[in-house]
Amino acid sequence: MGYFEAAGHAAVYAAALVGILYIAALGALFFRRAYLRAAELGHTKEWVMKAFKTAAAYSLIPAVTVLIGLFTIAPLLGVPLSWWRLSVVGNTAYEIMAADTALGARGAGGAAETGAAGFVLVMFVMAIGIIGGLILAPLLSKRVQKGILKISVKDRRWSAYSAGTYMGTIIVALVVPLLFGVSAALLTLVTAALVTAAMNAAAKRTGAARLAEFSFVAGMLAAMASSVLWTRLLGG
Amino acid sequence: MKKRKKRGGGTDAERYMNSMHTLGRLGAAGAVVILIGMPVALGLIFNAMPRAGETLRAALPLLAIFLPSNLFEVLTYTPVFGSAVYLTLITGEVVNLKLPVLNSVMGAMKAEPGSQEADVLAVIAVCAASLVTAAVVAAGIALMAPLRPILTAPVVRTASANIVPALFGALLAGVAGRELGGGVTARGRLLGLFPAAALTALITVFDGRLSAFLGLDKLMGQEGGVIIPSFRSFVIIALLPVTYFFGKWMYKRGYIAVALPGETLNRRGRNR
Repeated sequence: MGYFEAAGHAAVYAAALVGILYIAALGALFFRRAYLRAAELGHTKEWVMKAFKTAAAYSLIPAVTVLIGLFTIAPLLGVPLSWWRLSVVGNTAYEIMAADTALGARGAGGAAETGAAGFVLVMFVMAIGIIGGLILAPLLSKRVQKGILKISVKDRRWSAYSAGTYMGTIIVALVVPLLFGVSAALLTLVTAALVTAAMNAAAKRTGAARLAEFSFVAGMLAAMASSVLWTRLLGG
Repeated sequence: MKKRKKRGGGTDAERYMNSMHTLGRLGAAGAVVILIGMPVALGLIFNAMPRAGETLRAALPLLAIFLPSNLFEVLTYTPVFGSAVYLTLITGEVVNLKLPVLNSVMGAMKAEPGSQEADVLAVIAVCAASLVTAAVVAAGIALMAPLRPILTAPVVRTASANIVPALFGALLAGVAGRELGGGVTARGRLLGLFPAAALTALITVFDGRLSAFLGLDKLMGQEGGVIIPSFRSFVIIALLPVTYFFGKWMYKRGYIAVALPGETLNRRGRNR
C-alpha cells in the first residue's frame, strides 16, 4: 500500500473520528464540572451560557485559521490525519516539522517514496515528539495551582495583580521582538492595538457598551485585512 | 441559592480542584493512549509497522527539543488556565486561540483574576474554543471543494499568517488599561513588566551572539539568532520570576497600587 493510499484510507478516518469524539467527551465532562461549580458559587445558567457564547464568538476567526492550516498540511498528511493532529496537542508548524523529520529518517526524498509504513512512522513521530506536556501536566500542574491558591488566600490584592503578570509576560515576549525593525507583522500589531483602543475609547465616551464588546474582534479583523497592504508594501 | 465561601481553601474549592485535576490526569492519560495507540492500530491494520529503532531515531531528537519547552508550557500555562490546563494542552493551539479567547472572556465577564470564578471561566472558555474549532474544521472538511480556493487564496493566506500579531495587538489595548477584571483596578501595572520588556529587547538585539555562544544555532542547524524564534517558551519561563518578584517589590513599595471592588486608589495611586 502506498503512502497516500494509507493517508486517505477509511481506517484513518475512523481512527481520527474516535480520537475527536474522545476529546469532545472529555470537553463535555470538564464543562459539566465547571457548570456545577458555577452554580455552587452562586452563578446562574445564563451566566455560564454568556461565558460560553462569548468564548465561542471570539474563537471563530482563529478557528478559521486552524482550518487554513489543515489545507496547508493535508497535501502531506492526508485529510483525516490533518484533522486529528489539528484537534490535538501541537500546531501546524510542528506537524510539518515532525513529518519532515520522520520522512527524512527513512531517507525518503518525499512521502510518495515511503509507503504505508512511512505514513505510520509519521504518526508515531508526531505523537511521541510532542507528548511531553501530557505527561508533565499530571505531575506538576496541581502543585503549581495549589501554590498560587496559597498566595491568593494571603493577599487578595497581590493575587489579583500577579494573576495578570503571567499573561503580561507572554504578551511582552511576543510583542517586544516585533518592535525591532519595521515589518508587516509590527504594523499589523499596531493596527490592531489602535483600532481596539479607539473603539474602547469611543465606547467609554458614548456609553455604547456594544462597541467595547466588539472592539477585540474588530481590531483583529481590521489588522488582518491591513496585513495584506503592509505585506505588499514591505514584504513578509 | 446558599452562597458558599468564594475565596481561599474552603472544602468546596478543594473538592472542585481535586476533582478537576483527577479528571485532567485521567484525560491526559487517555489522550496519550490514543496518540500512541492510533499509529499502532493502523500499523497492524495496514501490516506496515515501522521498525522500533527507526521510529525512536526519528522521534527522540524531536522529543529532546520539545520536552523542555513542554515543561515550561506546563509551568507557564497552569497559572493562566488553572484547572483548564489539561484540556488546553490536550487540544493545543494555545497561543493563537486559547490564550486570546481566555483573555477576552475574562474581560467580558469582568472576572477577578485568580478567583474561583476565573478558574471556572477558563474551563468554559477552553471547552467553547475547542468545540468551535472542531465544528469549523469539520464543516471545512465537508465543504472542502468550494472552500479550498477561497481559503488558499494568497490574500487570505497572508491575513491568516498575521493572526498572531493581530491577536496580540488587540490584547495589548486591554493590558494597557487599569482594569484587571472583576472590579479590581491597578495603577502602575505596566511598571511591573518593565524588566521583562527590557530583557526581551536585549535578547532580541543580541540573539545572534547569544545563540552562537550557547551553541543553539548549531543545535537548530541555522545561522543567526534562534532564541526568539525557536526558544521563546524558555525566554518566557525565565522572565516569569523576574516579572513576579520585581512586581512584588514595586507593589510592596507602593509603586503598583491595587484596589479591590468598592475601594479607590489614593491620589498618588499608592496603597499607602
